[in-house]
Amino acid sequence: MPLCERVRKWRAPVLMAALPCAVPVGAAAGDAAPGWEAQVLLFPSLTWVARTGAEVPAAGLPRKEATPAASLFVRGGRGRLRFLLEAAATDESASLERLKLGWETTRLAVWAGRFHNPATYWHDRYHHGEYVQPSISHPPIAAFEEGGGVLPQHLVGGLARARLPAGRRGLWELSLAAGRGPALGDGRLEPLHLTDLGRRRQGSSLVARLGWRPDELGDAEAGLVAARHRVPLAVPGAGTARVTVLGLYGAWSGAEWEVTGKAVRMRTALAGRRGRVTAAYLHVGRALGPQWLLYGRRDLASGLGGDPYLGRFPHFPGHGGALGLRWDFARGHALKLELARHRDGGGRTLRMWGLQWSAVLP
Amino acid sequence: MRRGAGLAALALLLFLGSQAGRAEQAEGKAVPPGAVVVAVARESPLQRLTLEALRRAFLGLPVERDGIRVLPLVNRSDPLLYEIFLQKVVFLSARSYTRLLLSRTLRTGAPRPPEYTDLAALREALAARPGAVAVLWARDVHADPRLRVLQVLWAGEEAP
Repeated sequence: MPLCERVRKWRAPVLMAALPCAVPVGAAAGDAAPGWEAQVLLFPSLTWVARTGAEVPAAGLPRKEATPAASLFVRGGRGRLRFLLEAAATDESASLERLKLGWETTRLAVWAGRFHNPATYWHDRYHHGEYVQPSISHPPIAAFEEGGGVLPQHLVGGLARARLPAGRRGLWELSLAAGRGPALGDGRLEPLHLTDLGRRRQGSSLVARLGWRPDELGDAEAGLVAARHRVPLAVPGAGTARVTVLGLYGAWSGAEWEVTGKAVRMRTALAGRRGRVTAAYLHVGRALGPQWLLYGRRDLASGLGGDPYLGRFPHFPGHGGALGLRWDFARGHALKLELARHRDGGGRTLRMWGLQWSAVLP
Repeated sequence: MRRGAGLAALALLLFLGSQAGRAEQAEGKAVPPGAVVVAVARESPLQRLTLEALRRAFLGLPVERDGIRVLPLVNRSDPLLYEIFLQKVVFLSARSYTRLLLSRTLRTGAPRPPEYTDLAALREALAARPGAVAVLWARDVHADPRLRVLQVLWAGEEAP
């Protein structure tokens, strides 16, 4: 690869990584202007992937690739006012993933802007922080739009979260969201950005999530999700898909084990045809000492083949799983090695080896 | 009658003992140097924090006591002390604690407690902010006249 092309490839993530250097040091420690407080976090990563399988070229994927990436997270506020920004850059693109402004009390938070679909528990937990996520790959059902995901993951609109006590230590949390979402392009969702509002075809979503935590201070949570999405085809006059999602999820982590799982039932309708799809994932991790984590994930899906909506995503890898090892080798740095194998609705198999360095700074 | 007097004397002794213990904690100097303590600025209005309130603060949830917002500062200047902090305050492994804080911050925008790997910088920050609390060895508090012991977490043995 020519030198100038190499520089171009790394420009966006490197610039993103350098951005926190321009922020006053005090801001990172929580002392911005008087009355205001802010915090900046940076999540750089470098991922090497090797894919095997006859269908790799057909899926439009390279056999080998190295992806430098960085995600910048800024949060802050004054009094009850809150703001939150998350921007992500890779060698191919840079985008504002979340930008929201909110008002928060002890029991209620109301946000407006671009945010993650609260029904996707995986992203509501890890967002774009590769270091926070235990694995390299996402469960297919939770994949972002750019990564071949089939459900809207970024919405532009309003989000409310209410927190109510459940017993002496527990907590109920109800999240409600309404907003505009992506349209369906050629085999993938086209995410809606703030700058796209009013410019092109866009969908709409109504989302609810009810979660219960036995200990407000702990990590365990279980709950139900419900969502209704209208996803128009990007070509005018081609119709609009209706996707109704009902599901349940749960997560628990102890000193040695961690478990995260979700199952959803989707009812779809497009161009007079209807379909039903069931999809689920289960992630299990086992700590091997303080620095090592062995993890595995099983992904399942049924009803993909003849579904009028999911059929538009011919390479959606519904079935399969991943097995990996994570090494937290220094404060805020992790190395992950992962082997994943998936099969799409047409029975095509894709295997992937991945190696990833990820970190959180400061 | 004699039995009643004995009980009263015992109660008096217990009362005086508990007061002496409180005085020791408030004074700070009497706390063994190898003890693990919660430290605040000498001028801090904070008088006492329950373990539950301390845990909430270090898990990134808002806590107000004695008319001031508690600002937790995570001390990572000593691996052994950090391990004791994880066991005695947040009840989580290092991995779980880091991930829980990051996940909560990413999700809700809640502030993540600042971490300090340099003890001098931590003591500066602690002395400068009235609501700041941190877990330190008692000897490091005794060595800085700007700080005081709020309470003892672990009387322990002399640290290596």
